Amino acid sequence: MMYKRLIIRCLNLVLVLGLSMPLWAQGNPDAGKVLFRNNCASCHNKNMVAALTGPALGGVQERWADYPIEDLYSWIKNSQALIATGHPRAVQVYNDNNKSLMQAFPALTDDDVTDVLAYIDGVYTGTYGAAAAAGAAAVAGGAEGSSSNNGTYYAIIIAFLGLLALILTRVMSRLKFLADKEAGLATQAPRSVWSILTSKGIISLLLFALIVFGGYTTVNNAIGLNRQQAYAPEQPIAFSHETHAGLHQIECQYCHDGARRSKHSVIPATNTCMNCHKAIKVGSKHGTAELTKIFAAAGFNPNDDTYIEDYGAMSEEEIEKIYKTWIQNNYIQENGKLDRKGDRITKDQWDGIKESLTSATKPQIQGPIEWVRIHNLPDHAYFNHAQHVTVGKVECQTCHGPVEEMEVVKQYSPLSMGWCINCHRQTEVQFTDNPYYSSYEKYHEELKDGTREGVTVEEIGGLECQKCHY
Amino acid sequence: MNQAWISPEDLNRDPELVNDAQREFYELPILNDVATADQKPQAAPGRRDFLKYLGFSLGAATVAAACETPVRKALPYVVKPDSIVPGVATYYASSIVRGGDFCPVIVKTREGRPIKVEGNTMSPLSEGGTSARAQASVLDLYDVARLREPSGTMGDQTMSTWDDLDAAIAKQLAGGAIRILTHTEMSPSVHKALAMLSAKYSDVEVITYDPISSSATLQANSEAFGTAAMPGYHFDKADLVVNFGADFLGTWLSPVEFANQWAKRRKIAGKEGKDMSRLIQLESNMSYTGSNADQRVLIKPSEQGLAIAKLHAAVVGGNASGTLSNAKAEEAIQVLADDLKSSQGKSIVLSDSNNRAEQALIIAINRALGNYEATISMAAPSLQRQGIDADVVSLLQDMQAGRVNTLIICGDANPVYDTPEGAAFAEAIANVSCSIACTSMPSETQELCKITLPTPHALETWSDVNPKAGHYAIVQPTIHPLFNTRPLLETILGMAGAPESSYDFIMSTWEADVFPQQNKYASFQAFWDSTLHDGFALVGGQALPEAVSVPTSAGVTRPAGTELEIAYYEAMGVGNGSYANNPWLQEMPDPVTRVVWDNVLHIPLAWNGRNDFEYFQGLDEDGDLVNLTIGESATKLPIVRQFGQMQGTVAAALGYGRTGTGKAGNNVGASLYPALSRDADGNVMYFATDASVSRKVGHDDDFASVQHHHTMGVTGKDETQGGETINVDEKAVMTLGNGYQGGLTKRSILRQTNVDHLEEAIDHLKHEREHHQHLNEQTLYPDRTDFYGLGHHWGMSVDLSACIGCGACQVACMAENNVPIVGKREVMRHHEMTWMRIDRYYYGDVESPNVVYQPMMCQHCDNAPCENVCPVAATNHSAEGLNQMAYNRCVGTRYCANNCPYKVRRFNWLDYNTADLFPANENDPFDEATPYYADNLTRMVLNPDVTVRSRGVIEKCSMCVQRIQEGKLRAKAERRALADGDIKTACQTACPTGAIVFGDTNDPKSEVSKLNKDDKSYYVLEETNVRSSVGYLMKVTNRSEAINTTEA
Repeated sequence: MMYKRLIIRCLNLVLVLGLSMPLWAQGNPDAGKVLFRNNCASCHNKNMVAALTGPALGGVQERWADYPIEDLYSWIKNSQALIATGHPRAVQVYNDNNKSLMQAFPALTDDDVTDVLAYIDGVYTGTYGAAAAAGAAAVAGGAEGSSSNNGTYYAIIIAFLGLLALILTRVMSRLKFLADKEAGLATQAPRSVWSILTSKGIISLLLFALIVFGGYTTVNNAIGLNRQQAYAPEQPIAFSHETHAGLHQIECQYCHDGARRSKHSVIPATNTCMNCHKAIKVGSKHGTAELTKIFAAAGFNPNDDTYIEDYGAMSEEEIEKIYKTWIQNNYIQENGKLDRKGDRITKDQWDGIKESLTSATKPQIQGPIEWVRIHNLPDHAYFNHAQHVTVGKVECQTCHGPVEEMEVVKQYSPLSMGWCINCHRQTEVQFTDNPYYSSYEKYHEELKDGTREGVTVEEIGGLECQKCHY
Repeated sequence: MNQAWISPEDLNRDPELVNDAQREFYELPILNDVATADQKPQAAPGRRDFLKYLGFSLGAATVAAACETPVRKALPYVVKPDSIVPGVATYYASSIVRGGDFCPVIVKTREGRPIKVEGNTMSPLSEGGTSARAQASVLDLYDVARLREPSGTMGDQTMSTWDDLDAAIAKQLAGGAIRILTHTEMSPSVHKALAMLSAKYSDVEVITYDPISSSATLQANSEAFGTAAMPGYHFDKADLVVNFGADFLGTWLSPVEFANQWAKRRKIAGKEGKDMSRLIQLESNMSYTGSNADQRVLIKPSEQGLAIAKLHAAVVGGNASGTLSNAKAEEAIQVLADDLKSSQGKSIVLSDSNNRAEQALIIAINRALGNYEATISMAAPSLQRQGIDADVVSLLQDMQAGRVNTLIICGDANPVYDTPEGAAFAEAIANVSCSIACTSMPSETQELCKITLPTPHALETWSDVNPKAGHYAIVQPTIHPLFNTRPLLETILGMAGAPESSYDFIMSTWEADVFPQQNKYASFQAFWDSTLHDGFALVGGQALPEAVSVPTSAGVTRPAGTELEIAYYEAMGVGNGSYANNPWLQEMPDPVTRVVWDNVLHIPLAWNGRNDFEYFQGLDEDGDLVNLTIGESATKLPIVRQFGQMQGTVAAALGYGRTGTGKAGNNVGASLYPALSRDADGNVMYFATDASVSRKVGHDDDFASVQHHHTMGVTGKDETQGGETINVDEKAVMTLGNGYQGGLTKRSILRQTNVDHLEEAIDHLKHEREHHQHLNEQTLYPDRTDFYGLGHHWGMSVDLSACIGCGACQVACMAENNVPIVGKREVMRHHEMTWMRIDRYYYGDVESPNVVYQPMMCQHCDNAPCENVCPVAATNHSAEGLNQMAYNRCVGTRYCANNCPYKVRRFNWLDYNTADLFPANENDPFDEATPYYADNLTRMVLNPDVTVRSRGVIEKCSMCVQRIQEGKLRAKAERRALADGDIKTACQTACPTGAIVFGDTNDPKSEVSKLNKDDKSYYVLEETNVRSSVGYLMKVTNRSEAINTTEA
């Protein structure tokens, strides 16, 4: 009986502690980052200072400081409901943003919102992420406690409860011994700490915990196998999407011309690069170091702006001569003469070209550039870019993230099946303006009489196995 | 006996068959015990083995899991060709040509790699049809056995470059008589080049032969019309076809064209059967075309001459002395003569006989019937057979006498294998000072040649074809040549001293010879462009040649009166032997015998009137080995007991028993070419009268016939129920009790009728279906009509009257869906992987039955029984009515296959495609170090849009979901509604007769909706309420009451 009461007490303690957590928690910006990326980033800029589809989020708490904090939470979870109540701040924001509505996020808990807010604040004030890294290093040690997550608290609580249980068990065992002794039944000595710890109950509990934890970890890791979110390998050419897509505003599909008509978005052929780089022969960041690689792959002689005849049959020495001349001439143009530094730069750049354009399977300089493939789907998953880009009118950034801000491209989305499914559940099909969907008569009728607002991908079979696996 | 059956065991209700069929899975191998062919499957492994495998798999999984994600490279083009978008297929109009075989096709390429051929719907010859051989040709392109480098020796000089070889050959050619040996060559450019070569050197002769020839027809036509060509036929214009043994639907002359024509008169809409044509086959063995005939009249091979003479006498006049051993055949010929006379100008009489006098009589009969230029055309003759048999004999004599200085062997010509004098050729070739083989594949003859000049595959090169007068087709390259090869045309041009690229030469030939024959295009460029787009060009026909001679019946074969005669036929898959190294064709079951990877001897069986059969020589099991002796040649062959085989005759196929080709073709079956003999004209006779068959000398343990695999509707005697007749495969499901289903022995699998009973049959079918539907209304399943009524619902219709069972769909399915071949031994163990099978059923008279071919693939049931039993929901239903299979979810319980009433699910017992990482899982059908699919060259044939399945998962027909998705996407991107016919499945595009139609059954205007509402339409096993999506149209025959076809 006593045990039972003890267990109930312990559970109560855990419950109270658990429920009261949001009241004193600071929010976990790491968790917030994930949440932000999955829920907010398609509309809100992740630098928190510029507007995207949605307004900039930096300093959102100050702007809502006149109202109770709960209002901000309900605003984030369901803005439309708050607007409907006539909340002055909500209506103001609504009007400021051309009356465009924010999607509701009923799945977010208060904790989640706290985390997201912590992340937003962290990025905005520069205390989170790359900018904060240097600062964080300086205050290493001390900083750890302040940014610690709930896990530490839980560990402390568990340790405390464990200790408490141990003490109580020992106290009870002692009391029982004394009571028994009083009644003249004493046969056993009170249990020692050791005997309690090595009792069958404790060991089975530990074993059970171990199996559950082990299984959980194994399954999680197994699911994560071969997933490469945030994979940002070094490429043979330091091509910058930030420069091309961001600074120069080149349309994604100018180079990735397969996206509109094929399953592959297509890594552009070298001659696509040459469309512009026949004229732009020296780069703003890397000078001749990177651009010469394209010329060497395509067989373009930048010295006299011609394509080299019979380039495929050329020896490496001949190729080396052409491109070294080009690099040297450029150096001379910039520095007046070819000095020892110039020689070294020429050699380094040529070595870089050779390393980038050759591999164990491709000994010659000429020929295709071996880019490292970043986005890999398993062979049994079929994905078609044209379906999403041309038919679904999905923005490239929805899946690939703000590529125009990436100096080195990384895999932005998890590309997991759950991620795909989630999007198919939420996304509405371009239904009414495409005659293809005319065979779904029932949906059209429902749209017409107002019983339906839109048709999601799921509703036309977008979650079925053989839409992606065959 | 109204019921259909598939084999003697089935008809006999053999208890062993019942026992076998009760086991869904024939043998359960845990180990890969196929490594050595002679090793028997091992007994079930014990506990220790189990622990070993458990340990291994755990370890392997750990190792596999610990592997890091590999760095994958992506290689873009340097200069992207405008015509290629990676990920999007590009199509080229071309032709598949091999010897006299011709099929107009569209080649599907992905990233510059041909992966599939489809029929060319624009071609007036095929109208989109293909053959199994054409479908399989893409695998030949990636054959690892192909010749890759030129090589040769001259005296003591060994050469391996084109320049050295060309120089040596040029010197050689000047030295004396040049003989060029080829199978039928249909390229006008090659003929022109050969003429240039003949002009350059003094003694040049081109010898053309066909391994399975129509030499006598060419001679007879030459005598009768002055044109040594095969006639063109119009089976679509014939009401009555009387056929003495010609396999025109399968292998003879131009089967794709003929099947297309024939089916036009066999498909009937609703109850309108009066335009149906009639095909009467006179033969001794159940040939493939015979199996599609309305009636078969049995005559012995040696009696064919007399039978033709009798028909000639009855139609034209005169008399033919002698009697046929089958008295009913005598009567039938008289009836046929009357029928023919009443369909003047609307009939065809034809024969595959290689006897000149017999062919002359056939010509006379057709002429008397007014069939020329009505159903048979000599004004537009076929050029698909050009070989004169006797020429080969004189070549051989010249070689033996040392009169040949240079011998050039072209293409598939392989006299050491495919002529009766093979052994003599092999010896005589040493007498030739220089022998040159221009071929793409190693062969028995090529091995013996001093110089080998490898030629490219038809998909790698430019070429042209003239299969019929006035019909010119083009062969386009669809891939950069894989090996160091040179087209035959360029080699001959080089020899003739006018080296030029094939493309340029063909273009100039067409400009000079073909372009002037037409007046549609004013400029050659426009004409050429349209030819490349369409794949062919039609030009003006020839004038009708004058008839010149009157034939007599002198010289026809006389009945031999011997005890046992044998007829030879061309195998559907391997043909004359040149297709032997194609495993897709080897694993395609012979339509009639259902045997794979083997040559078999068909032996007759006789119903003894009681409840049993008498088998020839007491051979009572398929696969029993016998010694076949013909004259001096002796061969060991397995037997099949063939319904419709005439007593006193046996039959076997030519084209097997290769020894000098690749791994897949070597030592498969036995070659019967050495047993062939020639008649007085030097023409090869495709029968022998001096055959003898020994008693059983053994049994082929690997004998692989798919006859009893995945059967449905097989009946048997249930000994536990006192010998009651039960349905065998239902018994498997119902071991717990005899429920409603267990009593179902007359299940709705086949529906067939003769045209004169069509109305009754339709009425009967209507009532039967009403009853089924009434039963189905008493269902516990929720009604999901609303759900399936939204959007598309895919379905199919198969016309059993049009289906001729050729197997093109089956091979097309393998090519489209990466279905692996498994090899003979695995097929023997019921492990074939084909998603689509063609069930062959006999019905009617036991000794000379009719045949129904029923293509059977996943029926995509809306109440699918397989879906309910999957414990992991790996198979489930889509809103578009597809029964989906998610391979990566499948854990291999095989419950679904057990529960499928149509038996269409296939389990990957081994890693047939080499898809996973464990070598122990791999299958090795040809005892090679690397499994068949492990070679990167072979893997180029894989369709990149379809997953390659690994071991341990179930797979089945997906209704080509990749094509559905592609078609839908195209419509969506073009912002239009999906039109009927936008999406076609692989089987549908392959079919030469248009028997298969796929479409959206939710669209009432679609063809499939209309067909499934046809009076003759039914669903297989409709009474089980599985609600299948594939409708079948009742088989309708056009038998004549007046002809009695049973044996005397």
